[in-house]
Amino acid sequence: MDPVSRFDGWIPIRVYAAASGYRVDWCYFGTRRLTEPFFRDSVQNALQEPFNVAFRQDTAIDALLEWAQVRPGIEPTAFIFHTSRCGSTLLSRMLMALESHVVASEPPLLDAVLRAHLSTPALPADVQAAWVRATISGLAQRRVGNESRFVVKLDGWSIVDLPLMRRAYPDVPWIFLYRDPLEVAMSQFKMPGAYMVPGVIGPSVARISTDEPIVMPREEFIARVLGRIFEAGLEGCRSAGGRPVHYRELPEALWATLAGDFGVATDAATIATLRDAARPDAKNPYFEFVRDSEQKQRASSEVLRRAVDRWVAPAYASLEALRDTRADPRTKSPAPAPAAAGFSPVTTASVRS
Amino acid sequence: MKIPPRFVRLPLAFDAAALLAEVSELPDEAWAAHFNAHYHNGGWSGVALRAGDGDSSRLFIDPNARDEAQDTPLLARCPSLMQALESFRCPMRAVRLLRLAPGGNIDLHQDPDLRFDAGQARLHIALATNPDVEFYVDGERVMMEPGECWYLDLSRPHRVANRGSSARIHLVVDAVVNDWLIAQIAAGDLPRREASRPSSASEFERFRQIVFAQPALAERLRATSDADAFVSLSVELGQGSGCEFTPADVKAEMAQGRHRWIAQWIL
Repeated sequence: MDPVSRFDGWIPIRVYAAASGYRVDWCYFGTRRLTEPFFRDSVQNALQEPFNVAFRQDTAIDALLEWAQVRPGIEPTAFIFHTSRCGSTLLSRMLMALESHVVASEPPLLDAVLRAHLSTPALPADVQAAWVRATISGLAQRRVGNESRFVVKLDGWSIVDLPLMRRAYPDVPWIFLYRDPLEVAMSQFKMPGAYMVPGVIGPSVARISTDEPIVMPREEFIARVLGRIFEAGLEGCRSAGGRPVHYRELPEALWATLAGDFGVATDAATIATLRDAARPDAKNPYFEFVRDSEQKQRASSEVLRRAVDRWVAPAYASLEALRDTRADPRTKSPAPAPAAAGFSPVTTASVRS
Repeated sequence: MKIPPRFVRLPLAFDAAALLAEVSELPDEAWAAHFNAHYHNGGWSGVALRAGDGDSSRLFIDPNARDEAQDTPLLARCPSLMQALESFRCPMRAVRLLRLAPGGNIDLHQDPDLRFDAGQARLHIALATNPDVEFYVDGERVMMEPGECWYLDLSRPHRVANRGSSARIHLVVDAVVNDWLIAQIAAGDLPRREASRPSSASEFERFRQIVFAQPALAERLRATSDADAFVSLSVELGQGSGCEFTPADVKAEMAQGRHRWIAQWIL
């Protein structure tokens, strides 16, 4: 049958490897908007409908490629790469507040496609890039009608897959959002993301062999993974057109330096909407978004500090230098503040930035 | 053998007619309703022949008990069954007769303690069955003929429906894995069998494809958010499209649909 009536209103939610090749799990979304902080939450909500658990389509990945030809989605406006724990969810929540913008936040199927070559080494890069485009095209279908901008926030480790993303989208603007690596490391140490636990997402993004992390202190593993992420971000910003953005530039940067890249209007009403969306903590509506840098710095251990100094600090310093050469003078990085005396416990709110 | 097949017929054969003759002599009151009442529709009952405490109404098997089960008084009345059990050269934690009445249905579920790598294996000896008994393990239909003994990995999702007009009775042995059993499983086979009519699961799959091709039909199904009403509507619209399946098929697909999404986060 024709793909239009077969997939109209349907969205790919999962790409997976089967014995017969890569396959796609499709769910009916209709006019459902991606308004939840993460794509997986949007799917979780959609799966509350009995139809969406009993009647999902399962096809070879070729059907997704064909669908991208027949019904191309909105061409992506910009990509958000980031270090995690750096305000990336705040940024995507602000964009989601605009009716014109749709944000796919950390869609796990994009990660599956970006990492497909790890489990399928024979996969040609051009084919993989076509899969990336088809996946994003499938996610970027107009569902309400007034959407004109589509932004993808990738996973915290996806910056290492930047070359593949650039192959798929050589001209789409992208940013690398980061913050002081000690603060990121502290947050990851307290509440680790999946890629900060050896083996969880498959081969280590830091190319640490499988046996090493067993004897390695957790502080070192986290610092080395972060080091690889910061280095990839630095390399991309230097040579592949990325714009370095520091956590402390948020939220104002979105309607200042980033407005062009993200297709954001800068009229007073739009800025008011964005400011409003920035107010609640992006992942936890019970807490206001608060700057918690000092608190995090105080709570960090000496071991973690040394590991971050060794593995991440050089790339961070280079990123900051690069940002300074490009940045608005008002947001230049200040001299580091002296460490405040005393200890205050890190709250739930502060680790969940 | 670290991971055995999901199901396999063992090289053991039993005289189903002789065993069934003894079973039919058992008094009606010996059959106790299966304790897992929340996932069967009332048609599932059993008799314990060997149980932890020798009680013939004890269908529950304590997963922590490591001792061999005691004969219950009913087993003494069944010399052929006693003799059949001697074929099993492995420790047995429980032996039960399990009967699924016509129209009986056991919903999709898993028995996580029946893991082969934890040393547990459940064996089914078919005594009485009919062509419309549909036993699914991991979505695959398993057709067992009277007198055959099968190993089934029931730590995987499984369900049973008796859509025929006669009872299904299996002798069910909970074995402790040893070298003998490993050898039996290794020597097992998987006979190819044709179903006499399309299974209800395949009928539901046919309906799903019709729905994907007919947006208007999909629209009608999407109109209901209540799970029970949705299951009934699916069966009704399925009949309207000439597809004969049961609520259990819809419910099983719903459970699998949820599982397929969640499983990607499970290591």
